Amino acid sequence: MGATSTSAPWPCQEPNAEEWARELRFAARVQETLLGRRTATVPGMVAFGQSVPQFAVGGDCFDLIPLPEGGLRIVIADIMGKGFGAAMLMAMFRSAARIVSAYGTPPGKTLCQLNEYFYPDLQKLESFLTVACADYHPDQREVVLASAGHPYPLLLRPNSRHQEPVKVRGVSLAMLPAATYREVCLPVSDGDRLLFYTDGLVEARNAEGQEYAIRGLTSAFSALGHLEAPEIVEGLLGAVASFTRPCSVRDDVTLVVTQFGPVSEGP
Amino acid sequence: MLGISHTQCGDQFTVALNGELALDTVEAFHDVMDRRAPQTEQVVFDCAGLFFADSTGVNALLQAALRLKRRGVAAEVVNLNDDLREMLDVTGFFEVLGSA
Repeated sequence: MGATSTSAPWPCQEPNAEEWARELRFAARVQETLLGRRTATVPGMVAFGQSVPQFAVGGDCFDLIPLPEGGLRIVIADIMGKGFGAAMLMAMFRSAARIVSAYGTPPGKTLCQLNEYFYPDLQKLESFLTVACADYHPDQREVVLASAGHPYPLLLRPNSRHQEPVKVRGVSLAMLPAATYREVCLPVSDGDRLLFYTDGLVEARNAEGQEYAIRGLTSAFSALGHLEAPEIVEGLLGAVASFTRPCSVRDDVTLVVTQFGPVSEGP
Repeated sequence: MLGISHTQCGDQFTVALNGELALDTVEAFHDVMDRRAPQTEQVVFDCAGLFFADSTGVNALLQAALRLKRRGVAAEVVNLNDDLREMLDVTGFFEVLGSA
């Protein structure tokens, strides 16, 4: 099967079925515990995210990282491919993103640094990843976003059934040896909801081969947008599950919803 | 499913893609590009029949085009539908191809 190292100087033993099953269970536990569901609260904002891999582990991740000066960073990323290889790379990315974020580097510069760091390795693999990085600053009541090829986040204002895609662009990470990432500054108000997602959500297909598509997502988000962030995430995942049933979703799916409220008290 | 056909007309080799270019279909694409693409001055990827591409498919197309360009072969991706064009645009596909 060739699953063992070809560079080891001693004979390698192929894992048996039980060993593989044990490894798979542990990998799934790592995935669920560290990357599954998480919430974070800062003055004026609650964020909730959930990542559902297609297999036991996957190539999506999200993170909610407190910023040194206050506020919160949302990172969502999707590496090319699925399964164990993608998950290994995504684990590396998650750690690197946390380290860079600890220095308070703004989103655009963060993506530059991550791009430079990952380009040599991912070029050898002919791989890339898409990333969105967004900093919420409570004092300014704004979100500063940068993107490396990631789907546009959706902004839903209260009492509005229409969402605005936040059109922030940049080349996917590790496609070019050097890249610059511009930032977009988005003022936010009480009741706003901001949705980040990976493309597995909109590419989900039903038995007839129809895609859930951005239309399905925006329709569901409009219907759920008055709810709290965890309920919105649960509702959107449920909507996709209903759409694809009895089929399964063919890709990793990750969602992060941020809800904004008064700074003086929790939303 | 991926349908793939190729034609040669003068110095142009055209690869027509139909269906889905994705994780489970890219092997057929690699087969054409690795074994059947002749030495030529221009390769056109005609995506008129392509309705879906995931990140693996996008990357396969991009890496094939970049390899051609490094060899001095002009590579072009044409007839994308609006959704695919938008998706490739957002990921930076055309920016990378243009800078090669």
